[in-house]
Amino acid sequence: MTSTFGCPHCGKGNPIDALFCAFCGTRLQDVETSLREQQDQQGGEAADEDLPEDAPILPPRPARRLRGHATRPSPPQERKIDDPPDPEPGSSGLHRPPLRADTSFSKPPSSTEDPVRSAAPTPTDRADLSIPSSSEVPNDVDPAELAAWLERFPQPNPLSTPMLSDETRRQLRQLFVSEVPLAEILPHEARSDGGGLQRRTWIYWLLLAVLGFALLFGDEAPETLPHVWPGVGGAYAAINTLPTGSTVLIDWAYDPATAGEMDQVARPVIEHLIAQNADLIVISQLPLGPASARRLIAAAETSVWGEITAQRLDATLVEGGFLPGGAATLPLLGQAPALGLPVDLQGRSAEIRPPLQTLTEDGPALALVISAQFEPVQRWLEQVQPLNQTPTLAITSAAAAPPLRPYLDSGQLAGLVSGYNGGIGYRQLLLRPLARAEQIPLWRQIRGHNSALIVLLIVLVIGNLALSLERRSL
Amino acid sequence: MFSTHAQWINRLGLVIIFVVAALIIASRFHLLPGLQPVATILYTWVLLLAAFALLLGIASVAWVHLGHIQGGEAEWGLSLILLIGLLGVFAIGILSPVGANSPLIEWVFDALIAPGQASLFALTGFFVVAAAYRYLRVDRPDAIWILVGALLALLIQTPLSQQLLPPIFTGLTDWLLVWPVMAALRGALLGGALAVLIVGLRLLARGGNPRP
Amino acid sequence: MTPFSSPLPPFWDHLGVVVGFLLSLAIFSFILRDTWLVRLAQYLLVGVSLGYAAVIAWQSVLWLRLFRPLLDAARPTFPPTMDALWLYWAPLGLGLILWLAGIDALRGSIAGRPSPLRRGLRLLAILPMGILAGVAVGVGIAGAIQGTLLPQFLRGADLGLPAGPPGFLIMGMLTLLITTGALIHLQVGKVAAVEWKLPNFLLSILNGWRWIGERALWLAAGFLFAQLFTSRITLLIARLEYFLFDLRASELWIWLSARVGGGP
Repeated sequence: MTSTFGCPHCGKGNPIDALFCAFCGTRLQDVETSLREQQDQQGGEAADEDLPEDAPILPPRPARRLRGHATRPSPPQERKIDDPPDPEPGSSGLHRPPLRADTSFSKPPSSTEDPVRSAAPTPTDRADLSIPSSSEVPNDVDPAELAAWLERFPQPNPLSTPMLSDETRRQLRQLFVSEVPLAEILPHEARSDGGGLQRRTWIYWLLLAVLGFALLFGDEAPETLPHVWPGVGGAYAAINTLPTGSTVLIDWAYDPATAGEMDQVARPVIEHLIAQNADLIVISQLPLGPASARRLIAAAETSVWGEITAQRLDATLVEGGFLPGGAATLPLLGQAPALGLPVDLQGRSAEIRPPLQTLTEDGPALALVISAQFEPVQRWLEQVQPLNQTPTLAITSAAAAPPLRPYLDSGQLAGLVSGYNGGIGYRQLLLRPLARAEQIPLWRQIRGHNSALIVLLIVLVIGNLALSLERRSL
Repeated sequence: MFSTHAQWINRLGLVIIFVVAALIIASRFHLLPGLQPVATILYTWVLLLAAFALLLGIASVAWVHLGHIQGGEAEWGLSLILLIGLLGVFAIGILSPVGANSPLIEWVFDALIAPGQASLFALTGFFVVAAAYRYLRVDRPDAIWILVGALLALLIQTPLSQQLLPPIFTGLTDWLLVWPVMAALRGALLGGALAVLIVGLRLLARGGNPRP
Repeated sequence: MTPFSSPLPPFWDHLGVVVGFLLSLAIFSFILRDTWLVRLAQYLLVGVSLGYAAVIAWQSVLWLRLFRPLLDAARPTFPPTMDALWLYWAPLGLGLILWLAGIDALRGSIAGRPSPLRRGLRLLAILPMGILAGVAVGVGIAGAIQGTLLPQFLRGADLGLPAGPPGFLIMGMLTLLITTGALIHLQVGKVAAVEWKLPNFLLSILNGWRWIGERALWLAAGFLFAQLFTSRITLLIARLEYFLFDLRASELWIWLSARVGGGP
């Protein structure tokens, strides 16, 4: 159960960080802002007597100067919220008056937990906050005045407010009396330069400059190749043991958005399949997938055979086209391939395309899922493989590989090739020498990653230095 | 589904979902004989209905942007650009006998879609580094563990740092990936699958009762 | 025709190079500021991508799998045991209902007193939507059990139990401990005494178990971040290669360089 406070309009309980009341729709930020303006017009902080009887309760102004601290309040997630002492029972309600500045409390809470969210309310507690005793309230706030002022406002409906534990009440109080978190959570207007979400232009320029320099200067081969994660050997073995002319079903689950990486990972695998004279049947659940597949397979054909013709491409590749519907249509490929792929993209049926007939009668000898994301591979393993039990390889981006490790460990995946380093590692196994023109892009990737790592380390050091400086300034 | 209509309409929809889902589940687990052809027919229908729904969704986008243009809203010019691109490509593709394989559509793919999408996703490289600056800080235990895991993987994987580290680090990182990290991710996968199961079964159990 | 041969005149190749370069540059200008140029490029990209998707959906699915078989009855493309009524006419009818109801929905809400036709159409649309949702729910549940829950659970148990592979017993038990700890952390969170009413020693064991799983998940998150970084940097490097090298290799650039350099 989350911590709540009462809406100033209807009195119903709302989460502590709510912007609108869930019951009457009152914008909780606007009420606060308008009342602040009213207080400003009346000259400084309004005295309690000046507030109208039905005025909603505002959290106190941010403290101008905390004891021994800087004037500017820190961002909410980095603020050290002092821990007020525990209250005495006999509270009056959720509403709190705006206390004066310079309130001080004792010890800070644990920095590892959000003190509000981790509080577990006690089911038997009443939904009211207790007033701190005179010894706990700072010297410049008279508890009697406080109590008198509190009694002017309506009590919340006990049925609408949750039951809160002492811990939760304490934490709510520290939110209201210390630096105002609500004021910090005011929605920011979208900045025209795209700011508001951690725009760090210096990082962008640093990365751009270092990468550009690394790519532009130096075309020599790197001394070391990148480390290859486990799984590549299994993929190579699965393809290497395919009989000539085997039918391989490929789910092409990436498009030009991620082709910059995926082409590097998939191309050596496709070249291996072409060298094994496999018949490739390619389907895609992305509209742009079939075109991406056609281009890469044509490039791979050129690499293997030295030339590409329409006839050769047509002989190698059966384009199954676009299969919409996500997981709901994949079982067709395992259960009834004839209905899943009745014709190819050019409208030719199984009688004209023997691989389609083989797919229907015997099923594929191997299945490949070439995907930039983790989900298409999981979908295939859940929807197709349980139906046809075909050995499956995953050719994925680096980001998609870790969640697929359990599937590799359980044997559902026969191999896993991921990332640019996986592509390089697979190419090493092919033992087919590459022309220099084909090697240079791989070298550039390696140099680029070396440089990017340096940038990342610099950024991490600066980031943590900035953290320690922020702490010291507090 | 129809929040302003009678409850029986919502109930009817839930009943249909319940029946269809039950047929699929029974077919997959061979609970009843003779269900596989029924399930196959349903999958075929979904394949075609999904295409209908995709076209309807695209039409919806066009409708919204048409409304922006007609209403003279802010950035209506951009909506006009979007509509021109959408309708232009669609018209060329529909009128061509070979559809998406027509030379003009292939040109659109190579000149507009491929470079545009690649550039858009390449920008995320900048954001990842910015995210590392902001969140990989050693002020919280979770951030420290994440930082350790990230640095280990990157230092081992990148050739520049790999040759500076002793081979034991490579073995350690491989071991971490294959055993503890894999185990944790297995737990996450099981949790995710359980969540799917619970949500799905809850929906089916409600079938006929819109309110729990 | 292969992807490398186009019947279009060479002018289109040059135009494609220019258009691709300008579009990529416009999108990359987001690094500086989110300007109208970036939004223009994004809107253009979205528009043509949607148009392309519509063409693919029509050509690859609806025409090839539905309308063409219906129109070309002389050459059936399905096994003779399947009835055309179930394979083609029924989904055609459902799809048209979906389209009509959807277009009607685009026109506006039917609150108040709409015509019986509109009300009937919306009612009929429950059927295709229910089928779509029902199949999705069904395959979701079945797939989760068959493809993830059972195999992963059995593998985890197989590794961790004494009957598993002998050389991996300790590692297997560690794996099982971490897997279950992660599951406890994700599903239950911190085990609080007031909620669970368990003896203190048991609570300590459970929280310790959860602690191990939580740390393992954090470590896994670190590996995930590293791989995400690698993936995104690879994309960025590939795009920079386009700007720095691929453009310079194009015929248009070579021609321009020759002109600017004073060549023929």
